[in-house]
Amino acid sequence: MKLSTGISGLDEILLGGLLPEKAYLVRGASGCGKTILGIHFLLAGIKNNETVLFITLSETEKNIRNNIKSLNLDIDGLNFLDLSPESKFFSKVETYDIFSPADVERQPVTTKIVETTETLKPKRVFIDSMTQLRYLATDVYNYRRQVLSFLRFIKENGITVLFTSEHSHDAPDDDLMFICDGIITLSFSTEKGRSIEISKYRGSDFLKGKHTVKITENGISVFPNIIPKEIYPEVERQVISSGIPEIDELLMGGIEKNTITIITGPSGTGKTTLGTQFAKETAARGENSAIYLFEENVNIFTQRCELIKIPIKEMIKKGTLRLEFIEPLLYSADEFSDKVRKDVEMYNLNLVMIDSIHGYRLAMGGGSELQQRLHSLCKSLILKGVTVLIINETELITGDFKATEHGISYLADNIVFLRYIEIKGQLKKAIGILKKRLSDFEKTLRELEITKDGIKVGVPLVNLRGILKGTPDWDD
Amino acid sequence: MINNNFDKILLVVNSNKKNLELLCRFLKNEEYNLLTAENIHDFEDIITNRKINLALCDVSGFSKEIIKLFGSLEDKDIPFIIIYSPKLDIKSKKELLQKGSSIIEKPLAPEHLKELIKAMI
Repeated sequence: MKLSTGISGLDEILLGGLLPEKAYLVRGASGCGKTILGIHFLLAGIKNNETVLFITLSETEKNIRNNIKSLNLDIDGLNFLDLSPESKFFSKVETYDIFSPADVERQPVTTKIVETTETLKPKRVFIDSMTQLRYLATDVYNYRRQVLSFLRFIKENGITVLFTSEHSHDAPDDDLMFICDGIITLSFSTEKGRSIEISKYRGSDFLKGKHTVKITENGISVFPNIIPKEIYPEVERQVISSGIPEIDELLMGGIEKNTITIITGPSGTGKTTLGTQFAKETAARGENSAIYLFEENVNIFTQRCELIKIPIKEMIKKGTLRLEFIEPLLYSADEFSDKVRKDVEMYNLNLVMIDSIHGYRLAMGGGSELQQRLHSLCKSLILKGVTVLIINETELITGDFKATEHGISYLADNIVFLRYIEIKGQLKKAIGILKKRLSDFEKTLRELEITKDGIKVGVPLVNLRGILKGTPDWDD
Repeated sequence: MINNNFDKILLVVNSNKKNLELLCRFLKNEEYNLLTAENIHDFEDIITNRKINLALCDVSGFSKEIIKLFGSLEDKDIPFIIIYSPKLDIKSKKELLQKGSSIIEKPLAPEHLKELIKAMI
């Protein structure tokens, strides 16, 4: 039976939590959230009616309590063993060099730990930080021996230990990494934000890779970067109609359930409207959809849809549509994925639309892992039986024909493209299908118009030439 | 094992209060009787007026005047241990070595110090 870390996302990464009576190293530079993680771990123990102990070797108990005050974490039930240096240590008379700190300080520190542990009999101990003990050892060999015997003592008393270390190039903590049963590394970069990674877990598997971490007033939240399983369930082919006969003709009936569709085209061609049309039809069947808007304000989007007879308000009222604006600068890719997965479970969603890749990319800090993250999200949604629509805006209005500029075409089962075309000196919009994995599709383009009565699609534009050159033109 | 240290009087000379306190704590644990001096004046006073079996002198923080007092200890056949900082310059270290007594560098290894004192008294 594993122990919860008190952070649901971290438990998910650890496939249920921490194995009891083992020692885990929490690594990370200053300010990465090691102490808060430890507090979550201890609070989870209190929730289980366990006795817990926080051993602090660097910061004072008072400081820790003050720092935690800004978070909504109730630490009243925590037992502290404060072994941090007292303030008088800094006065001139308190400095010494007659004996090494190892000989002077170690004994009182270890004695106090042993005494407190024997008195309290805690089930969980958090030590912040083990690096301090390094300075009490005469050499590396002795430090390793001390830590080993200390951890053995802790484990022999049936305790699960989390201990922190501050590593740097000058003071590496490789020895601790060998000694411990598991390694949790917290990191922070201005470009990619906070992340957590498990690199060792004796006796258990875990979700590999870096996962997003967020520190808010509620403490630490972890958003796992879930790599979907390779095996996909066999599902019966079911076609979802767009509700517009001409589009269904282009798609040979519609798009298949449980597939990924990219709707791509330049700005203003009607990509979002077309995607929302599928949500409207999903709602008409009594099924649920969610649209995540990264770029457009919910109010403007709602008004726009209502003007073209897509009854967004009614769909939301009936609960068949969830409409949410996602501020890309506030969400990370993992956090967004976690949210979508949870929404799918909570609201029994059948269709999810992400509008658009540009916004999603911004949520990743413009990182180069777009393909991997989007792949992971889409595949995990497919595993849950969801149909996915991704809106992609191409930068060029005319010119070279490209399905997307992000190398994600492979991910799509269907690619629907929208283009500007010129017919007899007039700028028009056209819709076509570029890819459809599960059926054949119409190879010609059709004119598309967005009117006050909704989307109107015309007959096949057989006279259209130069589509692949990127300058479609009408040939009489 | 019977400890006969209680009848031995050790003089501990140290200008640093914390060092003095730690050294005294250690020696008290070994059941020695202790006299302490934090400055040259007290040091001189004790070796002039009191009977001691061994002196432990940390030279850090003292002027070269203390070397004269090591001469007085030699004259009185009182064994002594000179304790010095690793930061001490080579010239001063050579000067101390000429005194012919035991000379040890800080930080002291407790077990080694214990054995050294035993051997000297």
